[in-house]
Amino acid sequence: MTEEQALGVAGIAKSFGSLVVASDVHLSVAAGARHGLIGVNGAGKTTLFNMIAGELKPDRGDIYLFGENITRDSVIQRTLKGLGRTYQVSTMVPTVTVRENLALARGTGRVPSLWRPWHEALDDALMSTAEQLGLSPVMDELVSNLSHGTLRQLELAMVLAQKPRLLLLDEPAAGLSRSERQVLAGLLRDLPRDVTLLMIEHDMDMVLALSDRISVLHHGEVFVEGTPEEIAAHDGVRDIYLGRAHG
Amino acid sequence: MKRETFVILGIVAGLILWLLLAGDYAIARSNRAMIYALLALSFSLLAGRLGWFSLCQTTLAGVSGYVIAILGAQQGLPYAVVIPAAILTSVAFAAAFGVLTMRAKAVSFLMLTLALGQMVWALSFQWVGLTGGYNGISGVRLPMVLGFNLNDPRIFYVMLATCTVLIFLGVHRLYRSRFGLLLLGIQENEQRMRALGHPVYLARFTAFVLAGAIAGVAGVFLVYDMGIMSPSPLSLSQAVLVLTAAVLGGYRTIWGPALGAVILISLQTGVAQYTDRHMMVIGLVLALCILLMPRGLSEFPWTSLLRGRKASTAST
Repeated sequence: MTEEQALGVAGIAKSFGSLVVASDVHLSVAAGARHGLIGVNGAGKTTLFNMIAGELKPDRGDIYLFGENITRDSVIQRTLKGLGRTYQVSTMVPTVTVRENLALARGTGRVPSLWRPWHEALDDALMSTAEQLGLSPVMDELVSNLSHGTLRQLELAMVLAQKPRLLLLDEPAAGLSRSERQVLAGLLRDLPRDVTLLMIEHDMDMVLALSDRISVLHHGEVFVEGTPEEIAAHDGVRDIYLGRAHG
Repeated sequence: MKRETFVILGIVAGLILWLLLAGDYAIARSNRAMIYALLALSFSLLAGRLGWFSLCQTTLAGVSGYVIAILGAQQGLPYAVVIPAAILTSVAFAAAFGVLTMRAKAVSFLMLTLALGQMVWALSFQWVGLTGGYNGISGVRLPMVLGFNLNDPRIFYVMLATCTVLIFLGVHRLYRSRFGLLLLGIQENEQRMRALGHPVYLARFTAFVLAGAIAGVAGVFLVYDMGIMSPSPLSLSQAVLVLTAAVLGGYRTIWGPALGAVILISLQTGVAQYTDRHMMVIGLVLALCILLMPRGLSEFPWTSLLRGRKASTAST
């Protein structure tokens, strides 16, 4: 029996003029996996995320979400099919409270009620997610007043509220202190296995600790893929990070 | 009783008191202020919630006014047909404009609404056969109902004030709805709202059409208040007047547009009694207000100011 595939990327390519940011990328993420995506700056990781999430159209290639070809779907359609993502910069909606941000977490693809108060969107499940992510003490704080770490927690709470089947995490630990990273790692480790994770992260300790498999992106291609142990021991990967290989 | 209910009852009581105490001229000017308050609210729904500064809300009101004048005054169709037709035509125009503008951002939105507004304005004085050109269409009157002349400024005031309060309350509710919150979210972080599964363009379109409907209602009252429909309410100067009222009062709040409209019309009325150069005086007052209170009168920290003054008095 073949393992169910959460995400399939088949021959994706993208160029901006003469700059090739992805050339023939192939990637397969098994359902329930914790998959790391690493590479030096400019390797094309975020561009690949943007193409998977539908924010950027690939020049060629196909993207599959749980076996369904979603290449032509809009961002909203992909979200409604179970694809969630976080961004490198967690800006959210800064001028309103954490509570109001949470009320925006679950889009339905339709224009929401023009009459029903926004706070009715905060059901028990949403509040429970917020509590699990440690947001209870800051529910009535303006988002612009939150620390970077709390902002990351809010972003994660909002994306988890959508009940995604595949979650793309774009550098979730960026800018966090050591203790905040530990909290985040704990949160990600505790996520149920029905949420598949694909994570871009520069913190190698975190990637190696959290991932089942890791793909290394280099010059817009998947250079190597393997278990954390295989990647840590791979000479080519070391050379890439030390700037000695395939330049 | 909730503070909010208390404020609403206070406003209604104030409107009734004004009706009982003010003279006919003051009531007539109040009617004009309420019409501009509705137009400024229509503007503020887009500016405050979406960051969209529209220069065509007066155009949508003008379209409504022309439908009243053409179908009512010229063709003699019944009021029960003419008034809904006027509002629906404004909504249809808003929908057409909305399709063209819903993907635009800040400056390009402003320029698009300017272009669309000016096109309709040009059409209004060039299509003489339909609109009467510069002379417009006169004789736009409300009927007598049960012995009441609805054109009487005081009766008109009651109808307009009722409608204005209901519309403001409706928009107040909308601002607190999921939709209202989404509009803020779109203004602040459109990309994120899309990633959360919200239909950004459709929400913007809906807001634009709603604002158009409010402008349409304002247009109905405007044309009956003026008794004539000409191209002047569609001109750029009127659009700027509405923008000024909204910015002066504070377009991010629900009551700011009303406050701005009342102050602007009061200034126009009051200063014009003393000098022919009233526009210069008004301009100066506006410039000072906007420099000192960039977020508008309704968002100025009056309470902090008063508290600060009390504290400094106590310390001396």
